[in-house]
Amino acid sequence: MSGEPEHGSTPLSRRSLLCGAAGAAGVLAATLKRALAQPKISKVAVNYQDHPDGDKRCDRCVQFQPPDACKVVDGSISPQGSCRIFVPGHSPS
Amino acid sequence: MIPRLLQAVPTRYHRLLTIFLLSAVGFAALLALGVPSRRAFSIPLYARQTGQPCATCHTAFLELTPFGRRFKLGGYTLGGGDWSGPPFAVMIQAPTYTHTEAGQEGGAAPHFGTNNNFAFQQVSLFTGGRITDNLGAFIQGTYDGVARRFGWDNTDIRFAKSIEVDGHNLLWGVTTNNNPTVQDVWNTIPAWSFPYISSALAPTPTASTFIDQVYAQQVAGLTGYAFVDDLFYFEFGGYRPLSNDTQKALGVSPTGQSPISGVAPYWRAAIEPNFGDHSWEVGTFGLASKVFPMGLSSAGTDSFTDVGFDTQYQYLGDPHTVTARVAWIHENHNTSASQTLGLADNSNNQLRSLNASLSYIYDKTWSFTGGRMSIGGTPDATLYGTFTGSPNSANWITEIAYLPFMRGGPSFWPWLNARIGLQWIRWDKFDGATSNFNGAGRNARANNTIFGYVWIAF
Repeated sequence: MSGEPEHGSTPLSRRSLLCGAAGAAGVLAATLKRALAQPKISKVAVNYQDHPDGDKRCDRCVQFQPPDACKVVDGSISPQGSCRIFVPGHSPS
Repeated sequence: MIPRLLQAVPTRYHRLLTIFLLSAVGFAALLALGVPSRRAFSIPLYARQTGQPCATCHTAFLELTPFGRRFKLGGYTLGGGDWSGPPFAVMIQAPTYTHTEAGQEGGAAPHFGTNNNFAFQQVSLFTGGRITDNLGAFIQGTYDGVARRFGWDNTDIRFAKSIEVDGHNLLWGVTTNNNPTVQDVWNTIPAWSFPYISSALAPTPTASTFIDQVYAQQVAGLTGYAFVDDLFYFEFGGYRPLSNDTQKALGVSPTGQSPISGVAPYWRAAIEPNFGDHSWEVGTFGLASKVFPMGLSSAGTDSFTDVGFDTQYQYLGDPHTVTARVAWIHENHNTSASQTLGLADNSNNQLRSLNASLSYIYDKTWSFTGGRMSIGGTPDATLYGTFTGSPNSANWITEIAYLPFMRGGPSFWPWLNARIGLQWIRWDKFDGATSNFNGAGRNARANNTIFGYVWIAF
């Protein structure tokens, strides 16, 4: 009883598939040339708090952008703040 | 745990299992102790892009944290890292070791023995990540070391954008992908549910619901989604079958498939409140379609409707992390065309499946998981092809895993991640019976499996 299905959509060769993918990528690249703001992560998802967590402070994190922003977390960020994804490496100014 | 596993293995296999365990431990020790560790930077491709260690997106890979879920919903576009190299990552599942309580007659698979098989199970190449600020991708190609074949694997390309609407935050997006549920962000529903890795050489039950990986890599889907106020999630879209030639071009064998007729609608709704270190999700999902049984059209179509409910709770503390996951799926399967074709006894069948598991992760390094899987439904000997005619199977599964690099890899390649684990599956029932399920005297417990693995990504 097993066999290749009789049904399916229009056949597509490997070549046409690759050409189609390349074409689609080109169209997308042209269409999306104007950069839009990328979505950041919400404060609640990283358990952001306005106070330090021990040695963990936003202004000591590699993702902190002085004076009050983060590369990955949305909204205004306090240098004294902290969150779950702290990565050490930034020197406080 | 390990002594218990050794007890479960006949004495003559202790040596093989011991060799595997020592190899795994040696490998881990070499990497974890022999080289200095430094700050790491999730799938390594995304870790490089975001500048974040694996533990930011994963509790124990591949389970996602709230951050990891939002990274995916955001279209894999979030930056933060300083990597300027090519966007690729590699994943290897090798070596793996599979032992079943009794050997499998004829071999566990072509080229493999009846029992105690070592395998180079899988190697995958990933690409994707951010393409533009709002367009990103997860693209996986895999060499299957058991089937000995290369093909495309899970693929998810999405556009996402965050906007404010009347004081509410709306993260909306569109995803095109090749596997219903692969786009999901909770580790409850099929594509990304526990167990995250399984032996390709261990027996698996005959019956499964259609939404459970049946159409993986055989379809193309387009769905739109909205995540409102970081709380409410809605998604709706559909899947179309790929032609046989397209599947072959992508390394998928179309033999034996029951392709979708037309478009199969897919839906998902969930709510995920986060409070402090706690995250809790409750949701529903489903897929419905008409299908050509075994690709035959002379009797018309069968149809199915899969409706599922799921919940996931996470406690994300330091050093303690706990995740509880439950998914329940009900399938109504109209098999009138199959019945006409002599492929089913009944004109209508039903299936119900449960997948529940609980994980405790210590210090982002040691993962302990226990789980229960069951599937059951209407007996139909012709449809399922089982000796008993029943689709019922149930097991308990436990796993211990060591993840040395969730916080960071060794200095020579800080994006290295590894999961070294030992899994034990105990079958209560297999294909409808606890004893003599295949008519040749094999009992369900003969399929009890011990699976050891080394799983690395870099």
